[in-house]
Amino acid sequence: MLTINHTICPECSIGCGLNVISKDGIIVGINPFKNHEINEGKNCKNCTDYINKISALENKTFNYEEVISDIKGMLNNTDADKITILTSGNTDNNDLDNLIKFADEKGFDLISYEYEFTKINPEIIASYDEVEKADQIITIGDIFRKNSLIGRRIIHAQQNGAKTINIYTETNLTGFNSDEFRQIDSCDQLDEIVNSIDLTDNTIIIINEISSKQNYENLIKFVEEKGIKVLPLLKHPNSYSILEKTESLSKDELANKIQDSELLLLVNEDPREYLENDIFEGKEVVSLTQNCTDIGIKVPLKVWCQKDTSFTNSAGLTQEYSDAINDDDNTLKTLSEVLKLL
Amino acid sequence: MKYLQIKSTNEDILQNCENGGAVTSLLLSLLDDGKVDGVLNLKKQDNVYDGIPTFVTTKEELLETSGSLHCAPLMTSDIIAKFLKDDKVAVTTKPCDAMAIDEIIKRNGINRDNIYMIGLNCGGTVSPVTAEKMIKLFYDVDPEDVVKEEINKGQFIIELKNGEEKSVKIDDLEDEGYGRRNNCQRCELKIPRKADVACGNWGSSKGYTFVEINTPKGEELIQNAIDKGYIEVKEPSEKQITIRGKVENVMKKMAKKAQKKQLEKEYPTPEEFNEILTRCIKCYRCRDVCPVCNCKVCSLEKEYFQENPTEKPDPLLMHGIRLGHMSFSCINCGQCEDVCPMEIPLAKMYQKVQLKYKEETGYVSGVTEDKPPMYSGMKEEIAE
Repeated sequence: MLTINHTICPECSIGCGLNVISKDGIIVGINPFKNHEINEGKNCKNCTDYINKISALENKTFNYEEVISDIKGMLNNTDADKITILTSGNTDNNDLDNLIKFADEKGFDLISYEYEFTKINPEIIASYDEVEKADQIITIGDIFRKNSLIGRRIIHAQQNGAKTINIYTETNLTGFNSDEFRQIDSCDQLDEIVNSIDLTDNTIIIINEISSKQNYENLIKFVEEKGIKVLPLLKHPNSYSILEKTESLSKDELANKIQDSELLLLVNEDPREYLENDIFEGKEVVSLTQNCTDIGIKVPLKVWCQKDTSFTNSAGLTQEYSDAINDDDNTLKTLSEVLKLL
Repeated sequence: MKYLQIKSTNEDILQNCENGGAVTSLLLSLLDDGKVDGVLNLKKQDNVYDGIPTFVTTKEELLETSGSLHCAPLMTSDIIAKFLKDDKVAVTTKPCDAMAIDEIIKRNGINRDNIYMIGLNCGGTVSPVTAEKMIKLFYDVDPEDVVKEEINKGQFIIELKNGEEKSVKIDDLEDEGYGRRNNCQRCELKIPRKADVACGNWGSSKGYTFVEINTPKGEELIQNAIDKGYIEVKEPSEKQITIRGKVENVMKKMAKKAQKKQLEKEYPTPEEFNEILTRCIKCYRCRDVCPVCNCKVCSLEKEYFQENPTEKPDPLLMHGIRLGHMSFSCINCGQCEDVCPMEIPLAKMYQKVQLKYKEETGYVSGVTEDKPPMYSGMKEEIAE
């Protein structure tokens, strides 16, 4: 049976809508969700690539019994202070709340890594509409390519007369389309560069890449001092909630934490994307993910659009969507269901 | 029997329908008779601005799709070509949907015998988010209070929950950048004559749908629906036929005027276009949603066309190729422009080339019977 339903893009933190097309319970493509206030039916390459990847997943069933029993054994045989749960902004709000409860009850540490971004005062975060009305926009990173639907807002601002300055370590698409491009060797120079720009009251800084928590915190301090606004474009669809509700570590802190742990539960996260591959040597690992990784014991979960989902985007907007596939034959479990069994 | 006025005999359909309920009744007759496996139609979601394509196989589901959605500029042709190719399908088609299906049929992507096309006359569609902004700004109305929208006699009319109607001249809206999508403003095809029947309210008596019968299949469909009691019909008067023709002609003239404005006076210079195309992120969404492109093999993502992301993109390596490949067949549906995250006015580029081509060859994509003179079937042949 062919079905087309609204859902939300699971790739980055912008919160774009999309219509997902499924046939007999398998995702086969997307269709524009034109009445979505954020993207009006437009989706970027990151979104389509992700959907294509998900489309390849045809697994609808999994025998959880044996694997759950093994994991329970591992949890029972390891000291609670040596068990760490690492999650990411790919975990939706409901699952995240249940994960926090689970970690609290069991006495496990729950941590995250959000690419050096940290929790900031929501009042200094610019809305997407404010981006369009800004008279100066400073971009840090390649926004056009990595967060294209914010790139679109920048184009609207340019059409309204905004001046745009791009700062990045290499030439990039956002830089080619800005009034000015300032190349830096590293983000350590951000303070100096941003300080040298004549700011207007209606300047907004948009950032999607930072090298350290310290650099980010310096930038946020600068934003607060100048009374301007910032829009941090986080990595995953629910990264905003992750920063709000979990302890988000720097890369070094995370590596140390993993070293100190004996058993790691990776929840919708694969740290090999940003840490050395040998980080798990000598560790017991359980991987609970929507897209199966090949680390440790694997527990597949329902993907985001196969269940009721809510994500909070970069601007702090929470959006809820119902199961877009409605496939009774799919007996995979959600994270919350798996946690109940543990 | 070229023209008829049709009224449904089904009370449920009459309650929800825009005019006489002909569209839903004809679809129902096909479904009941087992002549189709299902109906591809648009279904209202949260409100009148939110339509979504839906494939229904039961009477109950079909009735949920009745009534018009003016703010749902979605296409259905590529859904048939990609996902319902082997099914027998009845589909509602705006003129651009019908043109797209015609072009895909020419490319062997859809079997005409497998589909019934119930055409919908169309004065143009409005992007839903734009519509909501426009209703707040020009009508001073909460968009949630709108139950129905209509474009008639140069007015954009909204009907509110309390039955009140409000209208604003469409020219006034469009001069301010609101109203119909730009490509719809430039569209000359208002009645989908490639569909089996074309339905609408222009010239019709109150409570009836004015239907133009375009194909023998359409004639048989109507006769069957009459015989089985799904519809009742009456012939329109000469005056009604003339009124309908006049409405169509006025809209065509408006389209010509919009073409002059958008494709000549306001058309970006080559330098401006070069700058605009530098924004392209190569997401390929324009290709993916093009309802005419039915290639099984696409060269655009081949390694030899890839560029270093740290270098300024070359517009020719994406849009030069696509323009050469597709512009002669462009039906000006505007989908490419709608989905472009970088706001590149693609439909303008493509339609401008198509209109030049039409001037020279007479070929109107989606309307002319033959394939475009310069069209090469080589790719499909390779894929076969």
